[in-house]
Amino acid sequence: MNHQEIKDLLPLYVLGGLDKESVDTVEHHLAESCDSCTVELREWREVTGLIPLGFMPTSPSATVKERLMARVRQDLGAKVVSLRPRRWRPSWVAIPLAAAAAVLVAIGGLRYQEAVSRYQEAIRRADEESERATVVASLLEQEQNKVANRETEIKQLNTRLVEQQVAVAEKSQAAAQLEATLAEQRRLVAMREQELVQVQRASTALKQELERLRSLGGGKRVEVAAYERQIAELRNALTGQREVVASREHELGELRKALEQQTTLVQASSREVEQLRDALARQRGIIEVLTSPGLRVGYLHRAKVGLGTQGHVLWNEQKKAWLFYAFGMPQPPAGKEYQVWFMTEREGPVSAGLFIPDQTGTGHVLAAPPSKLFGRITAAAVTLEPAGGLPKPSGEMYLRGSL
Amino acid sequence: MAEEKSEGQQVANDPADTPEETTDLEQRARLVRNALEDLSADQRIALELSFFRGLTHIEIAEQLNEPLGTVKTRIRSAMLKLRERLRPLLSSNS
Repeated sequence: MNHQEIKDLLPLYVLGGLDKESVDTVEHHLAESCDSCTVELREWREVTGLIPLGFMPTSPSATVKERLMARVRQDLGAKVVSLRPRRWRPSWVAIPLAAAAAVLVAIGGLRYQEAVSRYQEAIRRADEESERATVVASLLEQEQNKVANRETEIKQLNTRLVEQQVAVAEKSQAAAQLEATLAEQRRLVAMREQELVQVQRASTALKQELERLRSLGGGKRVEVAAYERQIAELRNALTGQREVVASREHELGELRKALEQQTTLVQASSREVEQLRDALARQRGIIEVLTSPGLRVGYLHRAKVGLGTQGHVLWNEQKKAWLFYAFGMPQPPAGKEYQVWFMTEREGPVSAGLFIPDQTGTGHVLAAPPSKLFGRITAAAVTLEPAGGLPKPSGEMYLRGSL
Repeated sequence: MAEEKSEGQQVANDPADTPEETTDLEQRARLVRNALEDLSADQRIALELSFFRGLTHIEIAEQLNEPLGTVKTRIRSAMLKLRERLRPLLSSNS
């Protein structure tokens, strides 16, 4: 088979359904790293990944539903009226199936009853698909709500942060002012101290003079008394000044402590904002996985009788990301956690992450498997393991499903 | 066939699909839905049996009582048509 013939097989290859020999030919060709075919294959994978999106439930008006069903009834005849689907499904399922039945009857190759049973089968299948779409839509809604909540939290935190920063600025300014006053007071104290020293010196000189005069008799006594009064006054003033300085220093100390606390608060708030932003980015990642082309859904079923558990695996080849959801999980005993596994043929089970379900029994893991595993994961499972997980499963299996 | 197309358009213009209710996701979904509705009935049946039922082409040919080559051609043209219509959603487009 030449390159062009193989290229023509690619859209059939991505859907599956080619015979073994053709699959081998295609894979052999791709393994020879044909770049143009690899690019083309990726595009075809995206196209197939988009097909389930055509099943996203919208809410058609009753008249549209009625019109569709009238058409189905008309095409299949009165006998199958009782086969009306229990609920609405995408229009393109109803129309082609009706048409299909009509075509088959016209061909005459199949019996009428066979057409009816195929229609029933298709309804069952469409129900499954519509359920699958509902799962994706409801998960998406949950994730979007989480983003909205995170955004509100960040907004509130930012307001608080600004308030705290303003408070820090105010306190810093007050501290600077206080410091300036304190410097002035200290200068005054120094001046007074100097004055005191001078007066004391003068007083000592006078006292010596007095001693000398006393031996000569009276005279300077009045002058000495005046100096001594001046010394006493200066001492008083100095004591007052020192008290003022001490109280200002205390005030400054308090202010510095408050400033430190405020700064710590600002740092804590900044960290919190940072963490919330991270969480928001993760949440946006999840939404991106859920809304990008190439989303596939797989089901995990309970592995143990009597458990009301189930799980969904959603993966997006384009985004190279996996989302795992589990519902109805019992709370694990102390020291245990649930571990999610990707099953591959070559490596066996590979850990995809750990979770502890919330009060509602919902567990959640976002994983990006190593790129070498991508496209080779055939199944997923959940087991109960010691907290922190193990490299290979050892505990009881709770969920499993092939993908 | 022409009748079916007009039905598809009526669905798209239904008053329930007011623009303020549509999200990006819904727009994508609608594009895919419309693309699928634009396939011929034969193409849709073959694609459906392959994609959702996971039947091999040989099984589909048996079910439809048609030659294998016809079935393959049909699925291939369905996929080519889908790729053309979904081009705006593909990453190679952005």
